[in-house]
Amino acid sequence: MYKLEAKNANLFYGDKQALKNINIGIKPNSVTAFIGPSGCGKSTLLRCFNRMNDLIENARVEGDFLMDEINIYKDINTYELRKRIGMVFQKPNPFPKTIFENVSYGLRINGMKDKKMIEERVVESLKQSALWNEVEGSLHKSALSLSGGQQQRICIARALATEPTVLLMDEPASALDPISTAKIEDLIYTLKNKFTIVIVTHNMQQAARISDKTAFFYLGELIEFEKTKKMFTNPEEEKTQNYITGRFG
Amino acid sequence: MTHLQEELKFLRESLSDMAKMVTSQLKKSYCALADKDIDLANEVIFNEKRVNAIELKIDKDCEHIFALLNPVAHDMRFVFATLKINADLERIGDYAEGIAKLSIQGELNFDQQLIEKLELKKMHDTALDMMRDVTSAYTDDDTKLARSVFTKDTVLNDINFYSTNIVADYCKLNPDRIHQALFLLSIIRKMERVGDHITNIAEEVIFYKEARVLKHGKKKEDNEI
Amino acid sequence: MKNLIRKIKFIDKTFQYLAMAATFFVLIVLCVLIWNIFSNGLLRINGSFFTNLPSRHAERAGIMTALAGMGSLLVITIVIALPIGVLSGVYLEEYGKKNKFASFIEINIANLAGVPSVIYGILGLQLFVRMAKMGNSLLAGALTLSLLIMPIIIVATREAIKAVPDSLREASYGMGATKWQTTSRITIPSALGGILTGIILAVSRAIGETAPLLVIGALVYVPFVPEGPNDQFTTLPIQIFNWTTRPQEAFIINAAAGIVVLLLITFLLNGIAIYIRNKWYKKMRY
Repeated sequence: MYKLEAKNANLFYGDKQALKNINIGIKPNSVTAFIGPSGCGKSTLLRCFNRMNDLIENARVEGDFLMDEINIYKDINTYELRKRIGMVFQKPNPFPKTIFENVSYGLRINGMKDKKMIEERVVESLKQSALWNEVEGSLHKSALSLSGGQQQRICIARALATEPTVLLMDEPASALDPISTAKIEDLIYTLKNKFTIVIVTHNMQQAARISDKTAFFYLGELIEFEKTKKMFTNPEEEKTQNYITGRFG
Repeated sequence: MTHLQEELKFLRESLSDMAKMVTSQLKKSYCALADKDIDLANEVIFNEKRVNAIELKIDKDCEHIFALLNPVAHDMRFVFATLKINADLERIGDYAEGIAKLSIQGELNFDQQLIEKLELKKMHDTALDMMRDVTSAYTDDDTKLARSVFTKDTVLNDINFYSTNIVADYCKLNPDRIHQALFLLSIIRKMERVGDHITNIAEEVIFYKEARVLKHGKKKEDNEI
Repeated sequence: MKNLIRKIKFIDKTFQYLAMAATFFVLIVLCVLIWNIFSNGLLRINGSFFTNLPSRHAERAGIMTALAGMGSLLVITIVIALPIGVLSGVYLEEYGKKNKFASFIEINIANLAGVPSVIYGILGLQLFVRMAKMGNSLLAGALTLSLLIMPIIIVATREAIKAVPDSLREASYGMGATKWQTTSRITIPSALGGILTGIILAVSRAIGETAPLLVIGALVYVPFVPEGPNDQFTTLPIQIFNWTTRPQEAFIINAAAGIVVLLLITFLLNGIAIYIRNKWYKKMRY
């Protein structure tokens, strides 16, 4: 059974078709990487799974998107969906609030009032995102006082606090230095035991390092979806081969 | 522990297992000969398939680590060394199988006195000793231990060196047993090759640990002189 | 080649000195003005100047009623203009669809902010004083001033909200927040510094306004402190205006003292605005 699935998915920005008949199934507790040149539709597809494309005025979606066999666009409301599917963005975007307020944001907007429970969830999330040791004494300092890598891990902790089962990551390390990137990658590697992770990345080595399966997109089409080991040693499609060896794109 | 570290640890364990397997093959092939045990010889021949399968798997693992995890510096040398050691071990496995086959061809009926004179037991013990040293040198990153096998290898070389004359003399005296003697000589040759592969492994261990290339070193020194 | 470099250097220096001269010119004019006023008025300021009612005798005249009138006028103005202005700004930036009508409104609001204040006075006179029959009361004055500063507040609010990065809204929506939760918990708090700065600047503009109040009929001589929104009133600028029209030297000194008070209040408000802005930018560095 798939955790996330797209069936005959098309997406249009006005007249421009950004996704062309995508069929993909993502297994639970795995890391799936979306790679491809800029404008290939990988971010767009990612954002279909938590309906972030709804925020774009002229975007139109066709086909079925499923999470646990539930139709994302028909059988569940957007807010409920986004609580179950956490998202981490390209640029670290903590709110200009304290670390505690950042991580507890998702719980508060869900109406959780119990202070003890909120506190437990915050600590738990910070531990899961491997940040607890670094911020233990400074929960009430501004999240903006942290380094870029720490800020990104705050964002991951914030996403984990509402206990989602899926984590979508849109180039989560592209704005970070190599050491912070390595930390985020290790974090993703440990998180996959509990979460289904889909990550969009420009960095092919990153996809190779952390993912179980890799999907290669080109001009809105899904060219190849394979086990990462196979993809990076002997891909089926010539386009994939050319892209991952750096011969185009 | 990072993903790469985990994979490297796993790779190291796999290769150590491979080394142990090959060691046991070597040991069994000699025991089959010494104890005239044809079942044991057959077991060695049968197990060779498994050694080959493990070799292929370690090759694949190394390939994946190179393709997916981009090891650099020490890590990269480690994977390179593992790849080469893997090939060496596979060759040693082949020799073990060859010894078992030759033993069967010789109908496990060798002249005990000749065996003793050729110091086959000493040869086997030394080779096994070197195998153990080089295995723990690899698993424990112990270059001192790795270096110790170079001197031990001279024992094998010496035995091999004298074996030709011993066998020739034996053949003159026992023309009816020339076949047996030649089989034994082949076995000694194989043992000697085993020693060479073990020193190669030691060189690889030193290479990944100290980034120093030892192979072909002697030739270079000779040229300088 | 050498000549060319020399020429470029010459132009560079000339421009630098020209800009410096212009700056000094402005500074000198300002200093002269402030010196002139302070040397005349500063000594006149004492306790009774603040507590005395206006009077025919210059020595006994004070700014009590003017200050009280101005204070209550500003409070009522803020109460009216602030919620409407901020909410309009939030609506236009966060909820309004981005179409031609929206840009039409945007241009018009920007234009309104630049309309001469006396026009607002005429509008207030017709709308509040005559049609709504409020007379020349505090309420009519406050409503007129509200009209005057509302475009400023709207523009400031919009700018402040525009400066909140989209990534913050995305993060909030991504957590499953609704539009209202995102706006009230993330967007507005993040923009609060900018909004506050805009409001204070708008208020400090309202303080200095005389023309629209004169047009709607604020009195130049009010011997009592207003007690309700329907009372007649005067303000400090009008009081100053009144004193400067008197022939006696002593009233001119009174006017200078009034100007000193007015200037100090304006400086104070602007100072607060700058302080808040700096603090906010430090907090919101993205």
